[in-house]
Amino acid sequence: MKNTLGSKILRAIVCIPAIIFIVTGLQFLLDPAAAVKQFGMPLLDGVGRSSQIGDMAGFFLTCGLCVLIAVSTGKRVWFYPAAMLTSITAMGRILAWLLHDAALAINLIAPEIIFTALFLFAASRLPAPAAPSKAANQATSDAE
Amino acid sequence: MFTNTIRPRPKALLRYTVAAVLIAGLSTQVWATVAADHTSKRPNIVLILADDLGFTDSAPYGSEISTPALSELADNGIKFTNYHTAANCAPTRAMLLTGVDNHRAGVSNIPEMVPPELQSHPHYQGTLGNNIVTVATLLQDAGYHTYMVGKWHLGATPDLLPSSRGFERTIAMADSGADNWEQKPYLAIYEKANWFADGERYTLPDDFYSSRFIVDKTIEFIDSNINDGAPFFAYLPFQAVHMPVQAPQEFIDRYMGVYDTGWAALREQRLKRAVALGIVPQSTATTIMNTTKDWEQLSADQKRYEAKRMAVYAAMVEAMDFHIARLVAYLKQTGQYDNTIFIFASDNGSEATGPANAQAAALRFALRQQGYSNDYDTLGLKGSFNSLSPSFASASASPLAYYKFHTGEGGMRVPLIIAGQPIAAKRQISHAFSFVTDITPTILELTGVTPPQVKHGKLRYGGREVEAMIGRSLLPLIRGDVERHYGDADEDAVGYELAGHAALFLGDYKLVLNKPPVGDNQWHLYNIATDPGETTDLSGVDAPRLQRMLNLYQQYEKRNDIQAMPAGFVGARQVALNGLRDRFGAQIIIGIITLIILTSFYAIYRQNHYE
Repeated sequence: MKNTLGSKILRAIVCIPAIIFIVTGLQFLLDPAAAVKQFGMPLLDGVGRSSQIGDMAGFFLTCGLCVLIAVSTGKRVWFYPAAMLTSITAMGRILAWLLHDAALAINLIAPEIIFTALFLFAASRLPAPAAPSKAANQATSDAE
Repeated sequence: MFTNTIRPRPKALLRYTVAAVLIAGLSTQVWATVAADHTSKRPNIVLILADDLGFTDSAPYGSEISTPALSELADNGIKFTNYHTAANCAPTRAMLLTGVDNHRAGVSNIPEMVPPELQSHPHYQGTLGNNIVTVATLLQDAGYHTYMVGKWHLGATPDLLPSSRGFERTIAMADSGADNWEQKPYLAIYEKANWFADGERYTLPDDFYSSRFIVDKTIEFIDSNINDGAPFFAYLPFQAVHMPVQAPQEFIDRYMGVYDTGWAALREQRLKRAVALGIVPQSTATTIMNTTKDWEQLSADQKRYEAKRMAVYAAMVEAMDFHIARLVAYLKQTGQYDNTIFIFASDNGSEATGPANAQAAALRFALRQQGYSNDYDTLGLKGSFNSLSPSFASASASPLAYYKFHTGEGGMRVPLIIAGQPIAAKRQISHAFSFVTDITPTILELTGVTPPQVKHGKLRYGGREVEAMIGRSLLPLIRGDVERHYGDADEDAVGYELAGHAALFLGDYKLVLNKPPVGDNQWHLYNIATDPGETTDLSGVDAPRLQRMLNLYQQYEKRNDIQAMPAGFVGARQVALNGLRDRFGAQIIIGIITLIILTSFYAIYRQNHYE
C-alpha cells in the first residue's frame, strides 16, 4: 500500500483512538475525579489512588503515543504494543466477568476489540517508511 | 526502720491540691449548668434569613406583596428601619453568625468572586475561617439544640460545613444558589447543586420546593428533641428570593396583572406606603438609577413579560412567608411559641443581575444549555429560569438607591424584625442604625450565653485564639433603654468594603463609594436618617465631617487588611472566569497539552513523508 489517499484516511482514523487515549491519560493525571467516573470506579485514597492514577495514565498515554509514533514515523511495529494493550485489556475484562463476578462491560470491551482490530489492520496495510534516497546514501558513504 | 515514713512530697502535695480544686470547681460548674437547665427557661431562637429580599419587599415595610406571617411577627415585636448588612451573600452570613467583621472572618467576598491574586490571603478565602466561633457553637456548648436547613455558602469541605461549625443537625446547600424545584445548579460554574445533610452528600426528594422543604426539615429537627427540655436555635436561610426566581403556580396567579403599570409606578407606590408606615421619613426623596429603563419605551409584549417576571418574584416572597407561617403554627401547636424569639432579616438588598432583555436569543440559548427555559407561560415553574431586571430590582429596593453588590442603601439596608413573647415588644419601630454584626451579640444576650472571654491576654474559645466580635447587642434598643446604640464618636464608626465598593457609617451619616459601571468611583456623604434615598450629597458642604469619616475609613481599611482589587476587576466577569477555571480548567489544560503532542507528531510525520 503506497502513500495514497486510502493510507492517509487510515492514518487519520487510527489517530482518533490515539487522541482519545491521550486525553484520557492526561485526564487521569490532571482531573482524576472526572476520569474515574467514565470507568465506573470511585477515586481511591492513599496508595490506591497512586496506583489508580499512575497505572491508568501509563496505560492510556502509552497506548496513544505508540499509535502516534507509528503513524508519524511510518514504523508499523509501534502499532503492536497498542494492539496488545487493548486486546489484553478486553480479554481481562471478559475473564473478570467469568472468574471474578465483575460486570460484563460490553460498552468498554467492544471499543477495545475494535481498536485492536484497527491497529492490527493499520500495521499490515500502512506503507513502510520510504527507503533512504540515493543522494542520502551517497552522502553517508562519502562521510564514511 | 520506720523513720522514713511515707509522706507526700511537696510537689506531689501541690499537684493533689490543684487537682482537688479543679475537680471541685468543675463539679460546681457542672452542677450550676445542670441546675440552670432545669430552673431557668431559656428562649428558643428562630433566625430566618431571606436571600436578596429588597427593603420594601415585605408588607411590614411597605410592600404590596402579602406576607401575613411577617406582619404578625412585626405586630409582636420590633421593626428596624435602619438595619444594614453586607452588600452580598457570604460576607453577610459570616458576620451574622459570628459578630466578627467579615474580612477578619475570611469572607471578604463570595469565593466565586475572589480574584486569583488574593486567593491566598487569609481574609479572602470566601469561607469561614477557623479563627472565629459561630453563635451556633456558643449556643450548642451552652446546652442548646442547634439546627440549620437551607443555604450555607460559607464552605463546602467537611471542616467548613455547618455540621462542623456548631450545628447539631443540618441540611445545607453549599453554593451561592441553586434551583428551587430540583437538585440542579443554577449557574454553569457549578457541576451540580451541592447539598449536604449532617456533613454528608445529600439527595433532595422528588417533591422538593425550597421554602417548603426548609420549613419541613426544621420542624422535623425541632420535633425530634421536643421532649428533652433543652431550648433550640434554628437557623433557616431561605433560598427565596435568590435567582432562579421560582414559585408555585397558585402563588403566581395572585400577582398576575399587579405589576402591569411598571417599575416606576411600583417604586412610587412603595415609597408612599413606607412613609405611611413610618419606615422612612415623610421627606424621603429618591433617585432614578441609571440602570432603570423607561417603562413606556417597552412594547406591549415586553411589558407583559416584565410584569410576569415581577409577579413570580412576588409569588416567591409570599410562598416563603406561607411556609414561615407553618413554622409559627407548629410552634404554637406544640406550646413552644411563647418561649420563642424570631429574628427575620435579608442577607442583602435586591438582586439586579438579571438581564434587562430576558428574551434575547443568546440568553435563551445559554439557558437551554443549562436545561432551562424562560418562556412566558411557564415562567417560575420547574425547569424555568426567572430573575429580576435592574429596573424592577430598583423598585424592590424602593425608595433606596442601588441594589445588591453595591454599597448604596439599596444594597445594604434591609428589613430586620425581632419578635416573640419573651421580648415583650409590640408594634415597635426603631430608626437607630444597626448592623449585621449586632445579631450574634443580641442572641447571646437574649439567651444568657457568654461570648468568648479574654484568657492570658488573648481572646480564646475552645482552646484556640479567636477574633473579637465588633457587634453590639440590640437588646437596649428593644427594651427601649436607649434611642441608639451607635453614637457619633470615632469608636462608633462602622466600616464596610466589598471589592472596592466602600461605606462608613457614623451617627446619622454615611460615607459611600460605589465603583463603576453603576457607580461613579467618588466618595459621597449622606445623612441617611433624613435622606435614606441618598439624594443630597453633603461632601461639598460638610468638609470637616467628610475628612473625619475618610480618615476613619482608612483606619478601618488598615485594621482589617483590606486589599485593593486588581486593575480592571469586574465582579460578574471574575465569577465567570473563576467558574471557568474551577469547572473547566483541567479540561482546558488537557486540550492544550493534547494539541502540543499532536502538533509535535504532525511535524515528525511531515518530516518523514514529505522531505
